[in-house]
Amino acid sequence: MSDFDTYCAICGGPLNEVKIGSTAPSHLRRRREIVARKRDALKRIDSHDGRGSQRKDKEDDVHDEEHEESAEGEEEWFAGHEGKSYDPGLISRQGLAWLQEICCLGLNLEVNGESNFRNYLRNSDNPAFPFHHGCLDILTQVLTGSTDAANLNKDALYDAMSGLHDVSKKWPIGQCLNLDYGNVEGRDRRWRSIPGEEFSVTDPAPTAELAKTLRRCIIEHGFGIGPDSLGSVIPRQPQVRDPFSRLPVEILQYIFRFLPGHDLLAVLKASWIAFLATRSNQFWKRFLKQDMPWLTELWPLLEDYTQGGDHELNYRAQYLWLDHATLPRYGLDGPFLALANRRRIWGVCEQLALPYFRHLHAKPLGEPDSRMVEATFCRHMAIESDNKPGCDPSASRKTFFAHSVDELDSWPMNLEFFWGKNHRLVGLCAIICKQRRVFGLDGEVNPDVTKSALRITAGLRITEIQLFIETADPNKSPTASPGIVSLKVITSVVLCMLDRFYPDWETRLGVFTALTVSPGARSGDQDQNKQGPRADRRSG
Amino acid sequence: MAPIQILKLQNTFKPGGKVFEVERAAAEHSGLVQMLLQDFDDSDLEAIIPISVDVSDKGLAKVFEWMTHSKDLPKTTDDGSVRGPDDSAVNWKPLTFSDWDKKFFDALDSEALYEILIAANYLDIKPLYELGCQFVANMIRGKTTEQIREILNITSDFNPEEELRIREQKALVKDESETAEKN
Repeated sequence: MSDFDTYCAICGGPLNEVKIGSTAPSHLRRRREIVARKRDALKRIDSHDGRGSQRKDKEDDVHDEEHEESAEGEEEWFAGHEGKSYDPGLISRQGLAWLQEICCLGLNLEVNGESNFRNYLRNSDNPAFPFHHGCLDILTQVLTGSTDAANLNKDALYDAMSGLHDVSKKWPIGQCLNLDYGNVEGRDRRWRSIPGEEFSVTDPAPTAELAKTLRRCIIEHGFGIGPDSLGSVIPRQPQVRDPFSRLPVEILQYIFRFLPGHDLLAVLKASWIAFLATRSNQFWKRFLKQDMPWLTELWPLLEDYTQGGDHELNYRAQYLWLDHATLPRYGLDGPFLALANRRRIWGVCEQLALPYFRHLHAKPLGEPDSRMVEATFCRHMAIESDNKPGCDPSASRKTFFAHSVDELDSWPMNLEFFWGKNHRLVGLCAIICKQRRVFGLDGEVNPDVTKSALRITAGLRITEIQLFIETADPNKSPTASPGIVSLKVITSVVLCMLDRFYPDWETRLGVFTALTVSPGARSGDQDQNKQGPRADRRSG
Repeated sequence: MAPIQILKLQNTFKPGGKVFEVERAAAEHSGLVQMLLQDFDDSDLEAIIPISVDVSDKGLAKVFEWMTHSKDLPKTTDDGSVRGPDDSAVNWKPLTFSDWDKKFFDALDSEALYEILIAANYLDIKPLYELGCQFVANMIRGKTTEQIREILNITSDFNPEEELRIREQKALVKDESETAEKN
């Protein structure tokens, strides 16, 4: 069993049990008081710091309040248990059932066709990415606009997730992807059920009850269009110098379509012209739909309002209200925990969308670029192992497994090795974005060969290939008719990737991963014939 | 090989506008030019095509530079760029900025950038219009109010009290939302 919990690759949430606190009135009251105090303290920090700088340090100060003594006559408050459990008034055991519905995306290059899913996780150096079914539903909606996960391209998704996976660690030690999972602190060595973060484990699926609550809140709130009070707010013509004044309203509104809500609100505060350009109710109706695509319960409600014709909604006010009511944040305790979690997960899925579509539409170079050709130019003559009479030295073959340095950074490479009946290497194929680059025999078209494979994650470099060579006849010299019977591929994390993931990369330069490919599993004695280390350095 | 057809375009918004010679394949990025050409005979192609947009010759020259460089690109935005099935239901639409596009936009000052947006909107050059709008949005994305003012060079004579009153108007909605949240 691992020393670390593994978390959902999509929402970063737990895949197993979480703790729910007791329903004793004194515990409920106490937990809520602690959460309320911390929430108020965080609000004060945010209002002072703007975007919450040094928030973490100050949060630590807030935590100290959890260790207060119990008052006389109250049930004992165990900070270690009750202080690390969710509010039973906000979530229930039934409501957590979705956390147990898990699926997994894995890859084992040596599994052919239909197979038990365990084969994809076992005997494979490649990571497998677990996630909740509910999260997969949201990801499917974001990436395909449909609810059918069959529309997802699993290869592209796996490649996208692999690119976001810390390449120097193997799942599950890496725990989750290199994504922003929102303001959730529960993810640690083990999942911490932090009171105030109940939204992070709330089922994000749409329900009839949720739609009903949303409808009730909108009706109660009204959101009618009141008299335009702006004139009374600024009773004069302001003098502004704003380059946006050069642009017509339609262009400004088009620019704002590319902005998420918080950036739009920032620019409206910054620019009076932008503020004036967005005062149309229709703009906010469109923006509401654009910025909250995850709020599927809302669209039928808006349709009802439009058709009812009683009064037009103030979409700006409605947007601001919804933005606030569903903002995933510490201490959220309204009726919209599920919406807040869906919004958070949708945001993570949007981060995944970029690499997913990049892999989906990937078109690597058909030919090696000039830089690669120059870097691999070799002045030495090709040497043939069997100098048969009549053999043409110029007939030697050359294959570029990588066509550019960029593609090594962008896409994973599957390496396939083909072995003949005598267990000797007869072919080698590098596959990048389904483009096959073959040297020697291609196992795909030669059924008599056996295949072994490995995957080189994007960003990794092969720094060394060790060849294990054996002669056909043990009585003859090893230089006569040698054959490669096994090989070891050694990869290393390149500096730019280390720099990205580890600011302290200097201490990790020695880390490397060795991947061995050997169909006959013959080692030991082969070490005597070891040819190497021989490096096939594909990049500087 | 068919001879390259050259079109002549002149901005008549102000007198004395420069006559630009643009390859037909490049000019057809413009929906407006395409529409005008439908009514043209081959004999009319020698004539100057008038356009009228409040943009300097320098700004138009940049637009034609982009059109000429991109003449072989598809004339619509259906180039496999990322977007959902319902255009309004996605808020991420990362268009592809090629290296050349990046250099092109990076080299522009804000006046030239806005002129390009105005001209691209008028001439109905959707890819350029979308790239330009996204470029401006990228300048704003992730910035604080103060940073946006600095980047866009915005100044206003609102005093702190007036600023507060504008913000209070927004805050009013937020306070009400907190009440509703408890319902």
